[in-house]
Amino acid sequence: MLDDPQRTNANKAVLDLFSAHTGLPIGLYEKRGDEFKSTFPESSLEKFEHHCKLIRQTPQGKEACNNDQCMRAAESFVNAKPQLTSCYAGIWNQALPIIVNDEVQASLLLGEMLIDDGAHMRETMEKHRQAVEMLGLSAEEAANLRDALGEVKKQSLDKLQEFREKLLPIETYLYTLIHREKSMEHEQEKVVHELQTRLTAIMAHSENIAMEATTLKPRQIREMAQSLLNSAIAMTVVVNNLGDFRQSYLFKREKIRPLFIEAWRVYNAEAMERNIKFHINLSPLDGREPEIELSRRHMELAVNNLMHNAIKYSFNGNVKRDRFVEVEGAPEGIYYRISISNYGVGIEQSEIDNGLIFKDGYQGVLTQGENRTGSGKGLSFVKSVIDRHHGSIKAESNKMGSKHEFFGEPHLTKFTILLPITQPKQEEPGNG
Amino acid sequence: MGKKIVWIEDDLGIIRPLVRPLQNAGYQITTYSNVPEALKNMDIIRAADLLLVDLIHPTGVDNHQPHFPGLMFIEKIRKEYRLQKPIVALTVVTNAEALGQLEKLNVRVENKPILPSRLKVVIEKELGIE
Repeated sequence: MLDDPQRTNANKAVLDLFSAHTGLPIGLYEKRGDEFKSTFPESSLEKFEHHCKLIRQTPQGKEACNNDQCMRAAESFVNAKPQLTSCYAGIWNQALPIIVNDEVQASLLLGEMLIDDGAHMRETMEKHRQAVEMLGLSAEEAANLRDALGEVKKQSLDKLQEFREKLLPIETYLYTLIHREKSMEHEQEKVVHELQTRLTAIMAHSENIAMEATTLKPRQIREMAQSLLNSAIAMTVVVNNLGDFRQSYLFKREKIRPLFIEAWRVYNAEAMERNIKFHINLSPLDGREPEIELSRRHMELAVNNLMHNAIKYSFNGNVKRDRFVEVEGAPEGIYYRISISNYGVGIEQSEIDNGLIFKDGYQGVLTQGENRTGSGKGLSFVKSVIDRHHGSIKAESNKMGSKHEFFGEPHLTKFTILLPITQPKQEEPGNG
Repeated sequence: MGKKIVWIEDDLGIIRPLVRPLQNAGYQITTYSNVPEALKNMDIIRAADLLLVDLIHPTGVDNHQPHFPGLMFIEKIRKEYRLQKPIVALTVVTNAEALGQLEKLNVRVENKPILPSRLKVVIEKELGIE
């Protein structure tokens, strides 16, 4: 696995090759928060034009150059397309944004050069005159700068187009490779964060019981032990989402209600922290408490995932509006329909339409900011369980109007599951 | 009057068993579940004796937030508000760049998971309590 300095070195090596190929200095600009991190290989530093070195020798010139480069990198992030621009001193650069998954990841700045045609040279000469004035150069310094300008490499527009067409796809590919591990590292970080947080609760509950058992009342010890158990179950859910470690499906007729009551109990501490109220209303099936054929172990994990999502993506903190998780159920032909609704962070319609939210490892656009610790694996697991039960699951998420400055626009999100009351008969192995 | 601790952590429901023993030991704990909420309460942060900060946080609808909002918060506290009070970062982050920045900002880093007894010792040490 590459660490950050190794990634920087790999980027430098690629830039070296490009710089050797084009004969031009090349820098890479990456966004870090509101600032830009620039990477220049040694070979590029050697290729900096004498003209630009002269300007950088003056304090105003150095500052103006740095600001100018960052501004052009920033512009290419916003415009998301290659652009040829001249700096305040009339030297041209070509900014090539590296776009991966429709998002600008970084920008290559290719230059310093003059463009070999009339219009571009006229712009250069005009800006050069203004720069000499702005920098307050003496007559001798101005003459030296003028001589240095004449030595700056000239490029044709055709050559620049060739660089753009050949270099940009290669750099985009190599940049993606260099940074793929980093994005995997972020994914792992999220999963580890989720596991370690659960583990923290388990360890803390355990130590509290061990340290305080002699001074507590039996009821208090029972409550703490129950909290410990809840934390352990919640951790089991996270672990099971990571891979297919479950036993084979064993279908039996089971009551539905206890699955949801149990899930609510497991995540009760988190729900209380967010002031979430829980409502459950399951209509009878054939006049009795609803029971359907299901694989209890798998359905427990699926329900826990859905309930935890509903709690996790309810707004927390200083939000005045009431928050709730509501479970409703009713028979529908040969199926029993169950819906789980919550009020809070929603799902984009496009993510629902193209099924992205049930894709393994996918984290919803609106939930990325709200909860960075989600692994993006829960809903994919839920769908696999529902599919295996010959059922279906669909999501709806509708905006609720009022906007919160931190959480954005609240949504009413509802997952609706249809589960067969009786599982279809399986063909015996070897029957056909 | 017990020492005042401000704890910024998004998984408040989960860390309650760590909070309770500290409260039993006399600490006054104020919790915030995200950075903007904490920044709105600078009076309370200024009055705190120690800050406990998780690095990985919700960022709300602001997609321009950095990867570790907790780190951004600590930078603000140290550089913008010039508060030199003890800060303990509780985290699973192993990113060398982030850890290097925390060291420069004079922040003690403790890895999760952490036991309540260990956390109490760390806090006492940072507050200079024998």
